Amino acid sequence: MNKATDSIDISINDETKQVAINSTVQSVIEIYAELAGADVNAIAVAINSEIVPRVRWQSECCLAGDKFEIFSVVAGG
Amino acid sequence: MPLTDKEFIRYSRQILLPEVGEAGQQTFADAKVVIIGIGGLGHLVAQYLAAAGIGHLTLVDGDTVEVSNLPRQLLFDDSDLGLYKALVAKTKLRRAYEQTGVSAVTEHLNHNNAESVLNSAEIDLLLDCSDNFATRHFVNQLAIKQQIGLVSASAAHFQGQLLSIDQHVSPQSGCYHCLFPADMRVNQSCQTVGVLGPMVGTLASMQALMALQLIMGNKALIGKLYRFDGNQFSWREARLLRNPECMICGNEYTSAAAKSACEKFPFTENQYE
Repeated sequence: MNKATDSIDISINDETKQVAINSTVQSVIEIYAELAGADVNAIAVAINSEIVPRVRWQSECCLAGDKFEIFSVVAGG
Repeated sequence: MPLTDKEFIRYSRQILLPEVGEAGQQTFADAKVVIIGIGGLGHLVAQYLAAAGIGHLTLVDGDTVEVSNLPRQLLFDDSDLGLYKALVAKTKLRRAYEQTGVSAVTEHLNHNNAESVLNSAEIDLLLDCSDNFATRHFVNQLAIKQQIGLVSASAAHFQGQLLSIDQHVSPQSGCYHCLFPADMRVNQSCQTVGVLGPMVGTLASMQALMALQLIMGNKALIGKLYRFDGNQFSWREARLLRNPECMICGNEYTSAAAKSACEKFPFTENQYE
């Protein structure tokens, strides 16, 4: 396996990460959640400064250079 | 009605702004705004809007002033403990800003009072200053159902979020439910993770500024989420995107979708901290 061609660089909350080429948004979020000890169901995501609704996580693949911002809802006030 | 000399002097620093001018000040005076939650966010938003000369504010909150509110809810003091926040705020705002009409609703927003509180023919803007996820969803559903612009702000710990939606201006941006589905888990509230006064105040100031901008007709802010990190002092911006399958706004936003959703998500009694 050639890592250079089978993986791509993306950023998640300003940190560069390597993920498999053709990774879905869902799979990236699941990996992030596991590493961060976060609950996938408590996460929202913006890619390249555009919110990606949850229903599109399975169908959307990420591209090299994508900037993920993963965050949770803040409801207080 | 043209501005009086007294009003012209009072609001001179606002009128000086080309974006406001006399016409904008008159627009403020004609505007009617409903504020849900008169806690850390709402008390300050209400004060800013009254001070700016907004014509009428409806303050909705069933909570009373508690001592743990005082470090960040600056409109209240020890002599107000145990009194309804909405009433105390109404009294103090009327005294300081007599040109602004203020109504107080001393109940939490619920299915029974929502219709009388939100008469869309008379409301220019709805501001969500509540402190819990269920209320935020209920307010969103009402905004979609009644086709009122909504500015929603929140803060807890060192995180703040601010967004505005308006189905007339930007239906493609969807709604609060598209961004944060109702079955999402919520970890942060001021009661569980704590908050500093200026953190809530920052979001309240931004919410009030956004409200004034929207009333002035600046539509460029609609359909965006702004996130503030109070540890790093950074703001992030993202475009909101409608979930085409959203049960609140995804079909015909004017139709039964929001109405039935309101019924599907029974509103629970909550507190506006």
